[in-house]
Amino acid sequence: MSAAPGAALSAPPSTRLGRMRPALGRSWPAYLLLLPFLVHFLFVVAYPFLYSIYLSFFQAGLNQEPTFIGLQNYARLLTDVEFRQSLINTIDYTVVVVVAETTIPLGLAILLNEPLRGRTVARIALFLPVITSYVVVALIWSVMFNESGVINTGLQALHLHRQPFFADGTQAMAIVMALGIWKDLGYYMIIYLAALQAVPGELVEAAAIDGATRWRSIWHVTIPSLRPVTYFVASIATINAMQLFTQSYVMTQGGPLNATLSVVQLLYRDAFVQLDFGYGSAIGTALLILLVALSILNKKISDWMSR
Amino acid sequence: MASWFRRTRLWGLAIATVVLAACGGSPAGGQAGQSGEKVKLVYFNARAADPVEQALVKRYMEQHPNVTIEYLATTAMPGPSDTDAIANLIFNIQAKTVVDVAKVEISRTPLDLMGAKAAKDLAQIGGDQVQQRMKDLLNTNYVQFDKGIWALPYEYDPFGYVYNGSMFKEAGLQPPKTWDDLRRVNKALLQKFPNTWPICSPIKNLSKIQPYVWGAGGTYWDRDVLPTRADFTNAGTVAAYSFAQEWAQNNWMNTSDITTTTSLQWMISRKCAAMNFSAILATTLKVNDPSQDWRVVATPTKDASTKPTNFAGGSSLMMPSTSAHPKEALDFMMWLTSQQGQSLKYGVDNSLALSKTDLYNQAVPANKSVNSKLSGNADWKQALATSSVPTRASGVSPIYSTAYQMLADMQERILLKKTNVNQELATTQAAVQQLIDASRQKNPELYQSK
Repeated sequence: MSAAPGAALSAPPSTRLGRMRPALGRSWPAYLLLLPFLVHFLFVVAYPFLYSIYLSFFQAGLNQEPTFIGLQNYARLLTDVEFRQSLINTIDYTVVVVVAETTIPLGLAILLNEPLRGRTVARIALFLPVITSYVVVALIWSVMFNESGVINTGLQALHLHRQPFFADGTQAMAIVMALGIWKDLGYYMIIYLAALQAVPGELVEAAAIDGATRWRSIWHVTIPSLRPVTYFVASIATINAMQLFTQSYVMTQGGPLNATLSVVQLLYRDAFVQLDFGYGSAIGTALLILLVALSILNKKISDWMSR
Repeated sequence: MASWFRRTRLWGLAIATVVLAACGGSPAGGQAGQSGEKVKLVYFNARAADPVEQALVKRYMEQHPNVTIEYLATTAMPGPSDTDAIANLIFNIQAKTVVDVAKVEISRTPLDLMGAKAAKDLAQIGGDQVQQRMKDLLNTNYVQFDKGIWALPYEYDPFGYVYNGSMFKEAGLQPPKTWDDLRRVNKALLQKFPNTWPICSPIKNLSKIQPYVWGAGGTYWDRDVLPTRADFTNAGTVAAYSFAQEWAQNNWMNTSDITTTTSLQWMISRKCAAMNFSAILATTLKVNDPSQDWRVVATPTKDASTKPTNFAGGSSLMMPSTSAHPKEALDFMMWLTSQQGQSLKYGVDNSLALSKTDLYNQAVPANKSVNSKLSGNADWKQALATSSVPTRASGVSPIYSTAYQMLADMQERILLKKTNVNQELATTQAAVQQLIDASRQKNPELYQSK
């Protein structure tokens, strides 16, 4: 049996590439538009990222040919007291900040979604820290909380004891956390606000008709409708929090007594002050593995809750 | 038709985006000078004092029309930015980016980079001319090693006991010369000003305690070659750390750390009556608060029989291994450290019209002649008050940065947690000894006695 004339032309391409070709042809302009991003991604993100993983298996310093040492850098991580301390600090920070950044912006978004007077001003005020430089706000906070700063002066004026904010490890960490939460509140609030516009009005109305109070309607209709967004916020907040660096670096430099030393700060110190690029890369890779594990866990919890 | 129009618009947008993306600047690099006439140097300032450096670069180019200098600077903010700036330089060297001259902090960076084979030996390039220049400069003991000269001292930053003379006058006190004086002064100050720390000191800064160690006859390590033995348990070092712990135990000393910014705030707000700090702080304080009498004396010694020995940091000019024009770069470095360059830099020749704030933001001259000329100047007098105190280099070793971190952490534990001084020093000594041994194994040639 022979094929009908012209069948070769009209039959759909059998290979995957063949099937993709017309689509690629149609989408050329889109790929061209993506090109600057892709070039940047490949050379500034993907290559250093992969090279860092590669370097973590080497002893590598400045102007020095890397020497392969297998898993020695990772073995060192397990016994490094500073790494353990920085990991505990980072996890403490992440737990507090993620819980706060997932819940407080949600409450604020629900509140500022109501037709209240001055809500635009409140939205702007809450969003302003997001567009301010982290270094700038960290410097301002360190001036506010230092021994002769405005907070201690205020406490003294109220006949209260001055506080050793940056001398006490717990207080120093609390300030680092507070800054992180305050700085990012507005960003997550905007995400929630956008999501609130998509909550079906008829569901809220149905709940009201069924006699639900405003609070019960929020609890049983609005918040469950925002679950995918809450998952997104929690994931992003976790990734950001695990990369704690700027505020602790600027305000406390990891002190006192390493109470605010973060994993990224330790990485920075080992790689760029001690010039131990291999060990710094191992710290980075360990952090990456942890972040991936946390993201997977986050997804599993979200899926389980959606059932 | 509409589809054709949409597609054309999309193509237009795409092409415009790609063209725009391609319009970025090229990476920093000294590619000029290929014509044989013009030379392009890259000057990387990994320290502060931007306005002064920019003005000097401009003047040098005016005087040397065949040289173009690309000036690169990292943040000039105080605090951890110094580390950032040097990290940035290291990143550039690692990436083989051309940097002809780098302004770096003097106490560890040149030898860190020498140890990593990332610095050029200036003596090899300039010979006698460089050797001769070293005689004109202060702080040269940091940058000479293994018959090489790894940087030229550029800004001199001697430390001292900076104090508020007005508060001392109110309390009827004289500045302390010995530790017993300091004990008396601290007690009297606390009694007179209960809300003031009698002595403030940066808790994690090793260099601020070193003059006390040396003033007690102690040492961390000395050298004719690189140190092969960490020695922190000697009597002088133990005494100095025990004395510092005494400040903390008696509530004489600050409990949170001090940065360059807070040093000013705390002194002006009378939170601190005195501070172990750079002598230049007194001059900066005078600019910011002329109502008080800001003064500096040498760090008190253990007793009257011991002569003060000071720590002096500052900046130096080094040539990274990635320099493309070593000869021209050295000419520029020689000019910056010459009497002419330093006179311009410090306003002895005020033709650059630099503001007082800019002038005082750069420690004091490393050129002995210019340093001496300024000593009669009322504005500079206090900043130069400890310039003549002999100094000692600390931590000349490829492992110094790591050892410094260990010692700084130890110091913090002694002062804040009030841990056992002897035990802390012994533990840190053992840890640093391990680093030295590893370094000796790695670079045996650096440790051979010359």
